[in-house]
Amino acid sequence: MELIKQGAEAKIYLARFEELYFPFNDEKVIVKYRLPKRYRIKEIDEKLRKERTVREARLLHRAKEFGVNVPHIYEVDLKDMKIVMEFIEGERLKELLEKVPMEERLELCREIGRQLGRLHNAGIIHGDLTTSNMILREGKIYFIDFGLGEFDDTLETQGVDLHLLKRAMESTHYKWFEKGFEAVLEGYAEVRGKEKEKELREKIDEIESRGRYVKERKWMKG
Amino acid sequence: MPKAPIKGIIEIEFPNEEIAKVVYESVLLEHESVPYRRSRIKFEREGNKIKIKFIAKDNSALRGTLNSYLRWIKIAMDVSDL
Amino acid sequence: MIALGIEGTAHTLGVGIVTEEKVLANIFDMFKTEKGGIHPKEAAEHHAKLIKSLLKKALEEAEVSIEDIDVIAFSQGPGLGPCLRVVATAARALAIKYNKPIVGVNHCIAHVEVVKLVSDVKDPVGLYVSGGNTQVIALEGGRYRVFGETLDIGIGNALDMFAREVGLGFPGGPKIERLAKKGRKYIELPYAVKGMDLSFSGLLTEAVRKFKSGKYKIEDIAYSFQETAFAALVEVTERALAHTGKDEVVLVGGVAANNRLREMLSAMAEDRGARFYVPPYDLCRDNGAMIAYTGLLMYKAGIKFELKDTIVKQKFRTDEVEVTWT
Repeated sequence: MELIKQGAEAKIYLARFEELYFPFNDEKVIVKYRLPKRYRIKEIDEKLRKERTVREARLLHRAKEFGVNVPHIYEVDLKDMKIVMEFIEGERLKELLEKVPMEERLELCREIGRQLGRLHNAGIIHGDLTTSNMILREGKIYFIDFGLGEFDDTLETQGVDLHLLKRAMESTHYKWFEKGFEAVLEGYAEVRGKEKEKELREKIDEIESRGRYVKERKWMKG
Repeated sequence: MPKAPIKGIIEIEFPNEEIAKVVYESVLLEHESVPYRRSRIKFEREGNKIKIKFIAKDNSALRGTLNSYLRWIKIAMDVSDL
Repeated sequence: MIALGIEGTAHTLGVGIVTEEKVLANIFDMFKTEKGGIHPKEAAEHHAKLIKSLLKKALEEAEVSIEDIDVIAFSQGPGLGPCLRVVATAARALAIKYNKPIVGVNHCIAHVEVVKLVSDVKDPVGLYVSGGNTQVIALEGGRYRVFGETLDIGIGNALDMFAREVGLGFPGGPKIERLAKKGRKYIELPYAVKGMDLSFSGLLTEAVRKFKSGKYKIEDIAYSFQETAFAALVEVTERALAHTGKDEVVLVGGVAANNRLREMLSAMAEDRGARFYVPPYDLCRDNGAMIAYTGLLMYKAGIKFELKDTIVKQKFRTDEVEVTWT
């Protein structure tokens, strides 16, 4: 197992499937451990780690049911507070989008919008939408890392989710992000309808006009 | 039936124009930024005098507003004599 | 350089006089009520009555005259409107009368900035906990960014309100801390982290409900209240540390007096290899020295206020201020 990320809340490892289970096509897995915290009493510590582990697994499960491409879950272990899930081996959209011609780029953005539309239809907020958390594998876009996800179907949080994506695209893909985000909204409208898309556009404008540093969830990661 | 508004002027005379100016300028920004609701106030300086002209719908609104103005004026006077 | 700062965003009126290196004077007077609660008008009246004598005392203690002061700083917000207006008016009068530059200071930022005056902490993540405010802030991209804040009441008010509801009197913080020490059994209460922010009203309501049910010992409720609320504060602080990659944590604000909160934050910092610091209490609570010091830093960095810029800001956001002085 190889440690690939350590956040405030969890350690994330990359491992071979057979290390944990049995030989299986060289499949790789992600193992996410939620770490105990010495500063809080055991009762609170265990409750929180358990709740969050269960929630992340449920989010992934429900997202899949609604046709969103997300990693498959192999195991949820509430003793060690770990989730073992499929490792999506493909190309991160962050890099891919910069390499492809405009036509293809916008089609990928529309597909991001469709995926996100389905996710919101499922009553799920991703909470950390960046093109680093999207992977293209065999022609499909996968959303990964639901560590900050929530079950929430309010317009406000959906607006915040979209706005975060816009901000992320603005900083990562600043040359073409305006067209790109428009394409995202087009795809989103295909799934959720023009009416919903309009409401969300207004919501995004409102969030932007609040005239303050809009809070980002990115930093909460782990 | 609406009550007749209460109108009046308070005139405060300072020992000299300089003090009147310090006080006036210190309070002016508060005067300009106070959200008026039930009373209207004009705040002016003439030489060594500050005038507060007021129109209020009722007593309690007037009392609150005038209290604020007098408090600010008192503070400005107080601290310019350390 | 010598700066004079006036603090008066809430119930405490403070006048501080500082240089780049040390505090020359830091005088307080707190408007107190028997039952607690927030009283903007009465507090403003209190500040207005005492401002002159506090200024005099501070100058005396610092052994300087008003002419020696290089810059007048005041707490411009956030805070209670009537209190802010008193302070701003006083600061303006001083600046005009004695012909001094004036600087408006953000109260929340000052709480964290003042740490630099008394320690070698340079670029910390700050957990600022008081009656009305609860924020996790740190410098990022030239501003103090808010990494989490309360969506309803401040942790200090939550503690006070709980104490009042269960008949402990005011102020509640120290009393709850004493009771909590005797608590043994954890009673489950709603956790206070909401997304990236904090919320204490649900926790407060449930704790009061548990008390009124008569089924639980007050010591256990107080213990569970503290553990639950503080775990949330520490968690949000840890996230900010992890995100920013900073390695210093400071605890400021009136609630910083709580030993259990210190202990928890210190354990978290230690486990992350970060340094933990709490300033002396007189610089933790609302005080004039922090306003003076931050004003001094701002003024030295060339920040100039016209009179028209000194209008009070009740909802002054921490992330509104461009930090050009570090």
